[in-house]
Amino acid sequence: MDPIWQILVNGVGLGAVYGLVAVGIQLIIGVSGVPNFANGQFYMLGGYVLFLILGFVGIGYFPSLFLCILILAGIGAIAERISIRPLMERPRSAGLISTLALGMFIEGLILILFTAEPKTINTPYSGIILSIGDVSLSVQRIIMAVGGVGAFVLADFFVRKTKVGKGLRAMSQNKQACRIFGIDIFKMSRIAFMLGVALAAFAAGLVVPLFALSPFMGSFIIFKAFAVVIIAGIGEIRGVMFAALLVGLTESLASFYIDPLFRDVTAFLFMICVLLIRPQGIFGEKSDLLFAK
Amino acid sequence: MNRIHSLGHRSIWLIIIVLSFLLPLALQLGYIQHIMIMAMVYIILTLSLNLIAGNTGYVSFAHPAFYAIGAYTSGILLKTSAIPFLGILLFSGILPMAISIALGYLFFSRVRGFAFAMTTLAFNAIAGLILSSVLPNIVKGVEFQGVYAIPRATISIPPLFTFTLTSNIHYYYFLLCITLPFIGLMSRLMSTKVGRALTAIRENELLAEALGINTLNNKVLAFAIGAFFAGIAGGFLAPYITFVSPDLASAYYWVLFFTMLFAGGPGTLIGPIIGATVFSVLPELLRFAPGVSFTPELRQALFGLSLLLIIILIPDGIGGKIKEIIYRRRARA
Amino acid sequence: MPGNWTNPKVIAAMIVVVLLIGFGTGYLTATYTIQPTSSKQPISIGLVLGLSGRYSYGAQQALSGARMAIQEINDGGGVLGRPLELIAEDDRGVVADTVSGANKLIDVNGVHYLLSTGASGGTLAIMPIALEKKVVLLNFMTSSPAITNQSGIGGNPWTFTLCPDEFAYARAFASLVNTSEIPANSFSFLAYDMAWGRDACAAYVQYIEAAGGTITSTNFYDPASTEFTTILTKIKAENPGGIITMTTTESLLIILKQANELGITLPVYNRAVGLGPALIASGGNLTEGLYGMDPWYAVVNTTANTEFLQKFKLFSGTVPEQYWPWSAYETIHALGEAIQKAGSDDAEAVRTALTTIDMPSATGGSIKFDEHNAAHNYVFIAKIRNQQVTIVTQGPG
Repeated sequence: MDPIWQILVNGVGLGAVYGLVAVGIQLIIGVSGVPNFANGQFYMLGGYVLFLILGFVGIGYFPSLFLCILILAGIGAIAERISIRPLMERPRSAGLISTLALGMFIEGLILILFTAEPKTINTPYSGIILSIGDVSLSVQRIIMAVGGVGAFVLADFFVRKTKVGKGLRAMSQNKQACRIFGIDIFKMSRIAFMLGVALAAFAAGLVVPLFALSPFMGSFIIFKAFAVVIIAGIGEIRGVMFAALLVGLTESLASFYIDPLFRDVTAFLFMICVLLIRPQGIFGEKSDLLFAK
Repeated sequence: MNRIHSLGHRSIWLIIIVLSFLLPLALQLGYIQHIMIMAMVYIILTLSLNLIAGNTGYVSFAHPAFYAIGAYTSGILLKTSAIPFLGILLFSGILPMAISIALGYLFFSRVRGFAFAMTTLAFNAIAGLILSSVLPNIVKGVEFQGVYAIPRATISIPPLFTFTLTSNIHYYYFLLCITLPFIGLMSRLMSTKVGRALTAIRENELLAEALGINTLNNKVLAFAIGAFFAGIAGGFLAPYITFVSPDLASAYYWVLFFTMLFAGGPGTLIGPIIGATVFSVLPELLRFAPGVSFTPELRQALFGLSLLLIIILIPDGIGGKIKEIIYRRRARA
Repeated sequence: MPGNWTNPKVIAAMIVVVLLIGFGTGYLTATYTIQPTSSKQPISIGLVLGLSGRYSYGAQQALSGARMAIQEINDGGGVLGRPLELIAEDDRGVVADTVSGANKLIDVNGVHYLLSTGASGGTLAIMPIALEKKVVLLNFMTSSPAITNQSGIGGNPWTFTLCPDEFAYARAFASLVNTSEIPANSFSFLAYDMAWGRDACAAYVQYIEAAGGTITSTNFYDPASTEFTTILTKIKAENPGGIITMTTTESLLIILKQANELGITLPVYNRAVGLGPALIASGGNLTEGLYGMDPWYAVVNTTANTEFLQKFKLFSGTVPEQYWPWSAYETIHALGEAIQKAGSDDAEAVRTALTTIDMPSATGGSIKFDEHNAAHNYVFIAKIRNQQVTIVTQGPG
């Protein structure tokens, strides 16, 4: 009998992580137009910051997670000032390359400080393993799924109901109009970036106790996240979780029924299919800037 | 305006050409010749990427895949067939070009900008996977995941002569005879109607369309020419290194290509040349740096930082800056 | 466009740039060109290794092993009255850099002998260089059968392999299938999707099936991946008797962790990750019952090995995590012996001498090359019991 429930549970877990990183990217790309290739490295940085906090400041897992998010948001603000703001008036490819370079720099820095050797983080929850039927998972994984969905709901609420959030959405619709109406576009861009980075750091904090901490985990996840972004539709926040879960589930199923090696290209194949049929993504709207007629 | 992509100083190019023919004779070390050969390979790769990414403004992650496909094609054919090398080399360019045309028509008609970049990323990942995991099961000669023991290239124009390229000097001159015309081609290309169309697409694609430019065909053309020469570079690599592995399609290479292109100066002729030369020679020079240990981690951090700073402070890259200085001097003179 | 003779300063600048790049490297390297050998000139040995970069775990220790051997030999008066010197180049695990590093060592430093890198692809790439430039290539760390297949008789006479190839490991493992130590009969593979992962898997499949066992599945994973629950779910459902892994150290730790999370209790037979103290420390309880297959373990109980460990601890301050430091150490000694026997440092003479040496190894085996220039030492299968490594069996390498 195929362990279908286990496969589905695995998929949901994967999807939650991709979704969190992808939401961050959506916010940033929606507001400043820049595909933040460094988000993977910020995710990874979040993991290392958590590792340091857990190791040197003994305040327990959840408080450490919270602190970690704050620190990463701060780093994000600085990074935005350096690598996004100066490029706001330039063609989009500049932002792509600059965030790529930023990511390379962060990864190199971490490699120097921590070496390529991976580290393991354990929380009290990663050791507790539950067995429900023939599904086996650790409490940490449940936390990850719950945290992921929770963060997403919060992000969605923030974007739709709060003043700042509405400002962000307005930015992604029409930057020029925002200027005219007195919205500080620089502040918006910074907030979006900080949020995006914070979400990525949160994702890492949830996930690292399950895997291992390595300087390269960022470059691995960023492509999945971008694929999810394209599948959902660039700038679409609501659709992202759905798309992410879809990708996670497909990966898990493909890994079992087809071949584990193809798991990693599943997201891309999915993305290509979506692009061929509906280029603007499942939930996206056509915009001349990104999609041809 | 049609001077943009030629330096305008024929004398300088002449000097450079002459020097490049004399250089390997002055520096007899195989090691130096290897560095110069790899610099030329990267010049070809970067200039060909420049066509779609720099001149047309469409960033493409697929370049390593075309490079790898060319290399594998060349390696496999050299090892298992009796086709003359020049034919193999040509085919190493044609195969990736054909693929790029198919991809181009499929995706340029649907997506732009960042979304297009993602499709190239997807293609690169899938191609890498096929080369490393699918090919060994299908093609003879690739059992151990890479193609090894590739025989040396033999140029034969019967009944005039048959010559086998064995030493680094042979490969250097052979590649030089490809690289120089290629640079000339790229230079001429940008002052043709196609070149101007590409620039128009980069500056404002919608306007270009409104002006009646067939953006689809032009983009596919740029993409295809880029893929063709990337394949040629790969096709040359196979008999030179005698070993070809799937990591040619890996992320390491598009990071390298982007660094060379964007720090060098996208959209210009001399930019990619400078970028390719600097970023292939510099790591080797750093081997000799006394005192400071230039570990690859430090290198990566420095490259990332310098690329970031260049993108932000000198948006047109090193090449662009040089041109700016030259034009300012000329204006003053 | 007429050729404008513009500002001579600009022309001069361009020339200087080109010259700098070309001749600058020439000048810098000229200072490193070998001088003609005098009787007290050191004998240079080259080493290309992934000293940093992605797969550098343990490579630094291998370097220490080589250096320790060099120091020992030099303390004893050197070889042919001359000291040995090791020149190491970092290839960061990238094949292109392996090639350029090897070229640099041969052309610029003038080495006649080269120790090869840690990736099979790298070794394969520089074998033709060794052949063309007539340099002895000593493969002490990579196990692709393609290397030994192409060496020695009918192939590349300059390449020598001092570590077992995957067929040797597979043979030793297969001999234990269906016995009391490995009662399991069916196995699932989990391997790193690179050259040696694939080659190793192929070798194991061949020998296990010949021994009457079955392979339930072969699963390859992207080296960058950190998520194995999907693959492990699949393996768990197949219900094999055991899991054979060919992975990196970090992947193995994650695999053990996630396998535990999924409630998998199958024995894990790991090939390629050394069972060292750092692994046991990081993995803790998860490593209990883990198997390993290597040509050397710290717990191999011979006087020579105990001595080696003590010396290594003193020299580098660490205990070897993998077999590489021992392998590098013995390779240097073998090379030294061959040079002494050849009576000169000439590459061809040393090559011939290597084919005739017969030296004892610290593990109790011997270093003696067969017609494919492969030395057959031992292969050990070990297991972690109560946080200690214990040898289960040994077989011919």
